[in-house]
Amino acid sequence: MSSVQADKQTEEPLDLIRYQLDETVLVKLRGAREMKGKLQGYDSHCNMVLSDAKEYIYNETGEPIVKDCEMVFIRGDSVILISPIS
Amino acid sequence: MSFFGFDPSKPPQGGPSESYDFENTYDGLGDQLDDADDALNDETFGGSGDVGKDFNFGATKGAAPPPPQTVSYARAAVATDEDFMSELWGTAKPQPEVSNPVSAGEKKILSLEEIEAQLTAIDPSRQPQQHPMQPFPQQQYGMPGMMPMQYGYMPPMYGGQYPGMPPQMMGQPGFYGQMPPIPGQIPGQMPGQLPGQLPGQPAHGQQMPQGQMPPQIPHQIPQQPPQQPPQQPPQPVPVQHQQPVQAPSVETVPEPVESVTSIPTETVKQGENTPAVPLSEILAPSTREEIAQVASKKSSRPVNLSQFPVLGSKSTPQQRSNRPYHHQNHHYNDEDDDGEYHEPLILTPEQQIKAARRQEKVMRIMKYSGIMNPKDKDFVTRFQLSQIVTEDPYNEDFYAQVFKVIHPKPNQVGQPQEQNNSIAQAYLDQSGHRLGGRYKRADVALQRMQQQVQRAVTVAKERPKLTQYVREGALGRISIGSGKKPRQQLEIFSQAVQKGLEEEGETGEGETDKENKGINVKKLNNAISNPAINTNLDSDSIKKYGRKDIMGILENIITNLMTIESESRLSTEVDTNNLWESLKILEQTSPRVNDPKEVNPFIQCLNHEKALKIVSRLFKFLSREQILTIATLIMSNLGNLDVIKHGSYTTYEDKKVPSKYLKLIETYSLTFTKALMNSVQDFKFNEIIGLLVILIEHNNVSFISTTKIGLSILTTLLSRAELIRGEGTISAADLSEWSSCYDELFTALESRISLIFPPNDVESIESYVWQFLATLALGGKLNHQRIIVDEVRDEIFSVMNKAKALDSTDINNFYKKQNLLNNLNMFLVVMGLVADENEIRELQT
Amino acid sequence: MSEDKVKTGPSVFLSEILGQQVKVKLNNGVTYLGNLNSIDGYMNIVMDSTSEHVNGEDFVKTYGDVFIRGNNVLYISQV
Repeated sequence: MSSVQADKQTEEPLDLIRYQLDETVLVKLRGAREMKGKLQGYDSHCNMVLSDAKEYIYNETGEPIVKDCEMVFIRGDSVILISPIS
Repeated sequence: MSFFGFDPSKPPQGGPSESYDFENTYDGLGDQLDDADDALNDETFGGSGDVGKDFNFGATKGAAPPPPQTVSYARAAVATDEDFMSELWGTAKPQPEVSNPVSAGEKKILSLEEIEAQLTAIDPSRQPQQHPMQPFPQQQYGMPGMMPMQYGYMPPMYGGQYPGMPPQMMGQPGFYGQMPPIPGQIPGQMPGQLPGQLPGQPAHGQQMPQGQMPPQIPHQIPQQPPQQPPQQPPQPVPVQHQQPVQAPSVETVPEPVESVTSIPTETVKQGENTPAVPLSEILAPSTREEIAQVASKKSSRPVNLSQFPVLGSKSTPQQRSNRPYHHQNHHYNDEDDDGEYHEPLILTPEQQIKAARRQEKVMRIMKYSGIMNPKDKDFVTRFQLSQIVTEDPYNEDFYAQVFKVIHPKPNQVGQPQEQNNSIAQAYLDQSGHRLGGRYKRADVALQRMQQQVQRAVTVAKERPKLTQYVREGALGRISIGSGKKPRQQLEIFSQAVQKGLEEEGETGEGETDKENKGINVKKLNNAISNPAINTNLDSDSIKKYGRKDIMGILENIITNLMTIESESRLSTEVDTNNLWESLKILEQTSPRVNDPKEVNPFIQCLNHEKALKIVSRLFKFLSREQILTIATLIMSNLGNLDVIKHGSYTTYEDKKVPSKYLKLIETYSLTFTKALMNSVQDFKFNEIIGLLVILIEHNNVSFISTTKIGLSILTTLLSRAELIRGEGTISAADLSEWSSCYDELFTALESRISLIFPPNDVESIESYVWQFLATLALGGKLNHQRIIVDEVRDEIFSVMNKAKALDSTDINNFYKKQNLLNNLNMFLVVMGLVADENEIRELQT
Repeated sequence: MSEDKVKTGPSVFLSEILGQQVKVKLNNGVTYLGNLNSIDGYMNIVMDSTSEHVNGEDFVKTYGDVFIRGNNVLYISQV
């Protein structure tokens, strides 16, 4: 991803989340969980709403437990990492 | 036309007595009809109180009660009738019945009371002198055919639909009224479609000789609105079966009654000597109401129904000659009337006889009044119109076809019930289809395009073909393009795809480096006339847009758009400059790039679903010129769109587009294609040409044609151009540019047309492909069309085979089959052909 | 880290390493290596071309872009 940035000016980390609005994101959460879903909204605390989400719960045995969720609110303080899924 | 008189209840094979000669059965009345306009409507329908009327529906003199409002369903059907007619005949078709007071709906279905009112309202003062006794001529039985004709076609329908129904019920007035939704829907909806469906029905498709398929259908199919809104179910007509009680009530009416007919006697006489005029010609231009009136009048004549089968034969000359002539046309003249309506006065035995005769006539009127609702009349009118323009009336005649099915030749006799069912089923399937069969809902955007293509097809067919050649000869343009632009035989990948395949390190293509840096859109537009103009810029100035940059630009666009949208709610004047700037349309417009990240950012944005979703909202705030600029940019950069770049089956091993891109393509057809369709409506002819030229120059047309979106865009532009061309206001210069543009396009496609068919189209819903072919064939000359047909011959036959393989007893398969054939015929009709599952035939016009 | 950088304050350091390769260690022990795109006062971080390492050098996963919520960050170091 080495691109010559078009407008480098006032970009802040939360913009990355803004750009992902209406796109699918991966959210890594505390407690060995992940969520994938379409980002419907967020705020500065990283509270987020995802639609058509899938929750992956990892444990020692390997295969994660998967749960489907049509619409889910994630409280920001449990968020570790957010990444776009293309 | 003799089948007008057929009696469906009769056994199929009649003796010589069944051959009706039109000359013998026609009463010549049609010569007096003023077809040109509604000139006689007032007289006929009593619209004005003062005209020299012969009867008056308004019952101004009568003591009869006002007609009850039993026909609200007729009124409900009026609007859709007209919509339907204008669809069928084009918007220019005048609708005379709209202004006709009688047609408002109230009087079409005559109730008992209405008939009474008619009978009582007739002015007695004029008739006696005008109607001396006359010998009864033989040409009297043409018109009554109208009445049995209705039966001839209706019973099989209902017979098929309600197999358990006793046949005699069908003959009873009021029967149709008691079948709530059917009568209102079917007759109005089937014309033009049902016959087209018949061939697809194996049950009687085999019954009908091949040459007998109604050939005008394919013309009509494109004109059919793909989705007819569901009809309001007509309300039943409750009063019709009261007719037996009619007799006493008539006698109590004190008013004298005169002739119902409006036709002057002199002209009637003249009509006797006039050679026969085709029935359809008489009736065609008249309004539905007139037809209905005529029909009901005729059917009210004192003709014994049992004699219908022998109408026109010489077997009953005596009976006829005994009858005074005026009885035939003027049911209620004074001699009849005296008997009943002057009852308080003297009643001679002679008058009593006449009264009895009169009684019989009244019963006949009652029997057939109200049978046809407006849709029925509409149907009859349309059918008759179609008879005028055909050279082979039997072949195009629905009734004749139905008659053949009902009364098959002895060696073909099958199960009559089955045949009836098949007719009814074809009928219902058709209506179901237009009410939004499952196959019609699929894709709004494509549907709109289909409509545009169909309109283009229609317009083009109406245009005389010759002028094209003449004009071309005059300009000295006979063939262009192939000489200076030899075919590319192998290049199938778009440049963008090739770039991807060649890997990034490749810098050997100096040509691309020089040719394309950042063409300004103004220059891009110039490139229409002079493609050589290019600007060389330092390659350092080329920006690469990463995914995040594009997402940022996109979010910025959305934010600006939402700001403007909220502003526009407060004031009408909004500043769209920011929005326009944020689109970055003018940045790096060159389609030829070394790196996908160098592609214009707006084009890159279009690879994201959320950009597509706002396209139509976006276009609302942009000027025509701005949209044209965007369209120009897109046309030049088609190959850089993901839906094109990854949307062609040719680039995949298994010849299948991955589902990830299929989804994007789907979104494209629902959003972008639709928005483009809308905006293309505003483009001028030369702009369309310009867009096409840019598209051709900057893209591998053949590759683009293998993608659904690319093909849709081509179809949109081509069909729009065809439509404008059909309007006939194009300058010669534009036309010559157009034909050279078309030639270039065609050259690019030639020899690879069959590739536009995706090989793994399991669903077989490839209507967009046939639409494109139809449009392409439309714009082309005969030699073009030959080439196209030649190249897609295999596909044509494969569609026919697919259709044949489908078992049409399953309703879903039946839809599928019709869908397949309709798509195919959309293309074939352009070339004057039409196909069913068995063969392709010349379209007979 | 070079000697010059020792004297600089945290915010100067952070603004200097924008666009550079960095290593970010989280409280839970996971390490991310990538190109630092942006950072804010909460120490929210955006990196691209990121790889995720658990338990030292063990290579686990790569991301394109990554947003790390600041409260999880243990340290940021220039590679």
